[in-house]
Amino acid sequence: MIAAIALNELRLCLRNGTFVGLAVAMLALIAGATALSVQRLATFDRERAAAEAIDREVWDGQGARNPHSAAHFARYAFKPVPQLAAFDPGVTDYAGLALWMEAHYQNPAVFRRAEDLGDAGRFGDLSPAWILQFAAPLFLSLILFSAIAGEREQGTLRQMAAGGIAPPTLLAGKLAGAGLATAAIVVPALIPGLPLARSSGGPVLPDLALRSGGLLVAYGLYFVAVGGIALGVSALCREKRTALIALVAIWAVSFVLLPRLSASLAVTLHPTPEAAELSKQLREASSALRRDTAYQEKMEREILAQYGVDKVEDLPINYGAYSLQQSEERAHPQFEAFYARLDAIHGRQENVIMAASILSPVLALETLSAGLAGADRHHQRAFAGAAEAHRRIMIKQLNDDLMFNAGEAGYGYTADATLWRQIDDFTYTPPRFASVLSHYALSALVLLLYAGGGIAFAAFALNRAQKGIAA
Amino acid sequence: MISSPTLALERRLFLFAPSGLVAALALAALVLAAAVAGKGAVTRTIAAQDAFQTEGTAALDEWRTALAEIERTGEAPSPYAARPMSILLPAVLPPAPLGDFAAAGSNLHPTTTTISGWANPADLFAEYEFENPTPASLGGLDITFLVVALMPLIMIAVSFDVLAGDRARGRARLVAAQAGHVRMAVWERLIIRNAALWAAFAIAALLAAVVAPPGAAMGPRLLAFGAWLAVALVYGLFWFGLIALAGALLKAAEAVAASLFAAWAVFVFAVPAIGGALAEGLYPPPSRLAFLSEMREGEVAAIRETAKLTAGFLADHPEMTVSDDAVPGYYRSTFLANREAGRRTTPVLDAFNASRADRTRLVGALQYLSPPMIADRALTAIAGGDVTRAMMFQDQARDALQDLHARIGPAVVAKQRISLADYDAIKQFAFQDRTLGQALIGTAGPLGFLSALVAGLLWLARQRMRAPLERLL
Repeated sequence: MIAAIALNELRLCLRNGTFVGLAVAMLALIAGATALSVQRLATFDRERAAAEAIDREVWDGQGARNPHSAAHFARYAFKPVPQLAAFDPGVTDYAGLALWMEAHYQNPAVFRRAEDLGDAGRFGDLSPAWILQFAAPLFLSLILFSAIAGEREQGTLRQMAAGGIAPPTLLAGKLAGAGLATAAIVVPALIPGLPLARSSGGPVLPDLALRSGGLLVAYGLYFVAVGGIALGVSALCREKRTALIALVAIWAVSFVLLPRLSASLAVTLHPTPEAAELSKQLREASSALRRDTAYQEKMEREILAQYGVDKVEDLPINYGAYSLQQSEERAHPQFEAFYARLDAIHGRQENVIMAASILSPVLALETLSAGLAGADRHHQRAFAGAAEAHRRIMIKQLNDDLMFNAGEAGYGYTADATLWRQIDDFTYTPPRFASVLSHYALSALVLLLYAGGGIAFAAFALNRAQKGIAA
Repeated sequence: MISSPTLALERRLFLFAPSGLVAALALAALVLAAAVAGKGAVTRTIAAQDAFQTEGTAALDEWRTALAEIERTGEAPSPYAARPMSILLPAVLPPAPLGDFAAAGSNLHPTTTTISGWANPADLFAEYEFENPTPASLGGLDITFLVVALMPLIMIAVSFDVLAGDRARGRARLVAAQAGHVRMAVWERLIIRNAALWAAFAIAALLAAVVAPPGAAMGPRLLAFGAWLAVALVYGLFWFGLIALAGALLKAAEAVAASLFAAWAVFVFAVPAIGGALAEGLYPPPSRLAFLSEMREGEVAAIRETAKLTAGFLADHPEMTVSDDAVPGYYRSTFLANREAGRRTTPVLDAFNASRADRTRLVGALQYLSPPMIADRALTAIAGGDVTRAMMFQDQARDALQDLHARIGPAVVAKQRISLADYDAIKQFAFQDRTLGQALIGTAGPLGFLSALVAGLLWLARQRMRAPLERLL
């Protein structure tokens, strides 16, 4: 019976001009967005590969220089954008693509694509995930608003009740029908995108299959939740138009307004300090050693004792280079504290957004989807962390070379391409999803509750509708 | 003039009915919430900029005092004292008079920088990318977004069934049978509902405008608010015309609602998103990474040349390597290296900006496909939250950098200090904001188009309403 209802729903949809029009528009939109996203990802990867190659070439070709001057010139870490970002770019456009690994500073990532978008990106960036998150619920609402209210208006709900079709059967059939209709649009548009994305050359996530499966489940739950709510509203309303208005109102508030309201609320309640202030703090963190004369004296005493000499001129190493490295190491905990503070503020902002997801399932899905795609802030932090680890190794290598090899030349010492070539390229593999899972547990739970709640709500409303008819 | 029976009917059905009151109150609450968020952002920016400028000015005053002392005594306490390379001019982009009305998204661009001999045009803006990308990617809520995206939805929700509902319930036939003016009643009811909504919005927005962030000049703010509200009302009229036309064209209430919601989704989200994607596909922005690569290549070339000049100086740590006598030489070589890097990277930066301008022009042309895009661009420009203003700041700061380099360059290269008179001739950076008229010039064409569209829609709706009653009912 469920299959019969589902197939009947699908048949009715296909005969409905409005549905066909909407379906064609959705299909074209998803296919277009997929093609554009894949193209964008391929461009990202091409540009990254080219920039990495040039960075290596420029680094190796900088000529003979003092290693510490080279450490100031330093190298860049370029963020690889994972293939699944073709589906959901997450925060990719709003997070820096490159990180300067210079001496003395743990810089923030720079080059945010959103800065170059101009005023065009204010209402949304076209991506398959954006369409599924925002347009698909509207589409589902438009095809489901009359599912029960329409049957009631036409008197067929009474006939079905009289025919012994139980509410759970009707619910399952209607949901399956809407699911088939949605899948008929989404799947053909997305499927060609997968091999295209794989061939685009972006770095492969270490657990691509798990993440892809997770995305399927997350979006499946989301559609079940939206479908359940739409069916429930349709069952509660006596007229089709009331159901339509109610569903569009729910969509506008929950899917359009609340995400923005929550973002504004998040930064109002937990504002990120202004850039000028943070930049000053970063400079202070960088000069931790220079400002701590007591530590400088202690450091000097210790190194003199270690080598059993009385003055720095007698040291077998270059004391200046030693100080530079000490300065680096003295700054490390300061940088860690700085970014931990910033991270805590960002975390609190995201908690506000997460709290709003109780009223807006799309927020839970956005969090989970971007995380699964490897394109959220937590993955950005992982990239920044890896770059910082690489920076520390690289700067130490350069300072050590100056410290141990400067000899008589002192500060006049220069190194050449032999040293530059010993500096490894930055390589980065995004973390496995299991290692960052804790960030997404709440989102997954909210989605699960929404899916269960949506079905329960629809079942309740359908029961009520059938009882109302019987009465 | 609204007739009394219609007013009485609307008072009962909408103005004092739960639906009308909820719509007006929810709208006012949202406007005030957006205003609070916008004011909070602007206030924080002003406080941080004040601190930045105070610190910078204090350092400059100290520098000037040291120079005056050197000129008076003819002796410098240290080779570093009052050197032109130590002139660090703070530059800030102050929030626009109505900046809190379009605050969402404007925090992506830098609003402070330090102009000095140490910077070049390519690296003048650095270390400002600290914002959390998660809320940034969601987009914020500001009053401009509420007008552009939310007001039409509420207008549709309260107006879509004015005629269709009367048709379905037979009320329209009843009025016609009693020789009532059906068409006039429909217009009047549409006007009452939407005017009430806009009145609630305008009052809340006026409150938000009057309670200004600290330091805002009220005259320019209220002037900008007047222009902003006028554009918002024209945009509101567009939706009013569209609602009236849909109501007159389509019989069933759900068809009216579905078509209007579809139009809203297409105009507000689909066209801007597709347009943005199209612009990106047709005119891809130049690669920032390629820009970086070219900048680095230029820098390393400059470094190689400078190495000859610096003669082994460890440029970044003069206190360790450079004797007091050599300080001016160190400044000279780093200044020259920096200028060389700037010279090599400026064409790349220009090409980057030109390409961005091309893309902006394309998006500007695409706005004609979406009245919400026209309204959003105009309202954001009037409020001063647009990208153009952020770019103006960057351009002016680069000009100021060039001016400073020209003024201090000869002295730095000659290993001299500048005179007090020369220092006093250096202008402190003050952002030259555009006037309201200048902000409106760029939007005049699109706004003219929008006004024509409004006139066309209202004319069409009126023509359709004038159809024989049997067709209308």
